[in-house]
Amino acid sequence: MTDTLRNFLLTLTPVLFVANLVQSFFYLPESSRRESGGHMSNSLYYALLFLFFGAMMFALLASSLPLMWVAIELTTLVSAPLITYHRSRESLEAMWKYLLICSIGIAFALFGTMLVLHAQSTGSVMWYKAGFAFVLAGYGTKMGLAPFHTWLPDAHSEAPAPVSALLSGALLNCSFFAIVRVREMMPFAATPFCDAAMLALGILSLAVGAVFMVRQTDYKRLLAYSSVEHMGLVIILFSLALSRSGTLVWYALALHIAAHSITKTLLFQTAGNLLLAFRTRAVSVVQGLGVSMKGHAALWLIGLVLICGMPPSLLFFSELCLVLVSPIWISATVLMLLFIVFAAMMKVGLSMTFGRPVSSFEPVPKRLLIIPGALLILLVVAGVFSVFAIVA
Amino acid sequence: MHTFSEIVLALFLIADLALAGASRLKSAIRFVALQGWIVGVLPIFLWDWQANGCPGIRIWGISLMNAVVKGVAMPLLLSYAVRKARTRREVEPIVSFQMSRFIVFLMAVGGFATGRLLHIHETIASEFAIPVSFTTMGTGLLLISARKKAITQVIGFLVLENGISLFGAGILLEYGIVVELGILLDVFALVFILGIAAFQINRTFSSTDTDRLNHLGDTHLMHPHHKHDHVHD
Repeated sequence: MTDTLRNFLLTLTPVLFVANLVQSFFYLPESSRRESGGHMSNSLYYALLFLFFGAMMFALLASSLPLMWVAIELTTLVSAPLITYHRSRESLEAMWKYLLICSIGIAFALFGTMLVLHAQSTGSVMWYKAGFAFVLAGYGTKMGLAPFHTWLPDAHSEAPAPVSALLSGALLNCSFFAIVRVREMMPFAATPFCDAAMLALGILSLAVGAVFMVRQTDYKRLLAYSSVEHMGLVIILFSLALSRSGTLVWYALALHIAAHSITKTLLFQTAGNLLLAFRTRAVSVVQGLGVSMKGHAALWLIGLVLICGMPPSLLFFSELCLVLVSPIWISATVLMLLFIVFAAMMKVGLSMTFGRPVSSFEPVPKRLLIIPGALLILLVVAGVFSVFAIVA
Repeated sequence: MHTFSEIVLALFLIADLALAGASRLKSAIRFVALQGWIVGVLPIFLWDWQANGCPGIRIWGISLMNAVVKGVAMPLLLSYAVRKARTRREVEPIVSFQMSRFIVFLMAVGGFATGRLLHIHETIASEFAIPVSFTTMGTGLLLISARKKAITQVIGFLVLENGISLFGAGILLEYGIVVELGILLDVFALVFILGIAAFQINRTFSSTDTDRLNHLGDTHLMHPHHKHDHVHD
């Protein structure tokens, strides 16, 4: 199953990269025209973006665990400068937190990798368990699992839109794959511990994401916490897929990863356009999109509905599968938290779409809508097709 | 060679205590350099000469490379960053130096106690290596969390990394030259970027104190017409 998942991610990551690369061509000139302050040179930006993509593919393709560690650390190094594209105080602060927190996490992952390799030579279950705990904490930091997620909302909200989309859509998946690789090596005696640890972190991430989304005043941070929530769901699905026989949960896992990545890319790109037009990330200011920017209003509202897992969304099927196969107490907790997330998302989405329109904004050119629009059409068509496929 | 390696590891432990009490950045960088050297050459000391003869060129090469990068290049880079950022010399503790020394001492005691409990000495080269590496990792985390300056946090990260490398050397782990090079390059690049970031933090916030880095968060409401404060180049 690991190889199938690897091939799947090797297909998904380039799609996301190309989508964000093209969006960068549209976004950056518009952004530098509007922003008065300095920014990184565009050639450096594109160089780092390609290196970032290369590092993620390296992480997926690495043959051994230590080599994979090198690749994951490399993704941190090349993506950190991208966060400070706009040279502001806030972006510098976000980069510092990202570098320091992720590096400490990754250092623990190296320690865990050493423990696992040592356990392979001695065969001691205790060393396997200790190694997995450190690896889960380490790569979990990079994946944005609570309580190690604190860098994520800052980095995702400060980075330019295409970088936020790549961080959320592609990088988190690569870190998840690192955990999958280590989990695969665990002996049978250590698996109950590993799966329980993943389940606990998953539910905690879901809860933290839900709590911080309620009354969120910053729409980019809202999307960032939604990533924490969805990574929680991914790790819960993974631990369920391991303990259930059959391939249904594995399909649900892959579907969830793909649908989350594409929907989140669409949402971060739309949020970036709104930031260009209104020059603020405050929900209270960006109001009445339905009147002032109709295209963006449709993208934003439908995107938020899709990321919550409402029926035409592919996430609906994966979340349904999760609720159906898991024990009743997990189903109940997950459903309750998903409901809170839905309420928080809809409050923001509806007030931004239908609130009183503001006059102080500068419309963005139509070409910025091409990529998110195409992603939205892809998602809706795939969702409707799946509904018909299941009904028929 | 075991007495030798134990003397070297004792030096490592002393460097931990010294780092916890170091009030000047310059001396802290020196102690990190010392640890870097020791981590680099440790595989040679831990090598079983009587059983295996002289170690091969690969072991020598990796040791030399590690020692040069961790013991010379990275400390030089850090001193350069300190000079460039014109950081005042003091380390500015949140937890006092006396208290930090005491905490490191407690961690050493705990490390040796758990080292005995784990019964790992059959599989490793030196009984001291694991407790000392745990203590060093703890010292690194202490420096990261209990000091204000950005540069001191970078030093703390290096100490943490030294502790992990020491653990790897202690359990005689061998990755092969590509991975060794990759890890070394990653850590070097990280220190480089962190150094630049510390310099920029200094320029932007007029201080390298990381407690000024408190603009981001969920508790504060954004000002309605919030704009980025741009750095003037």
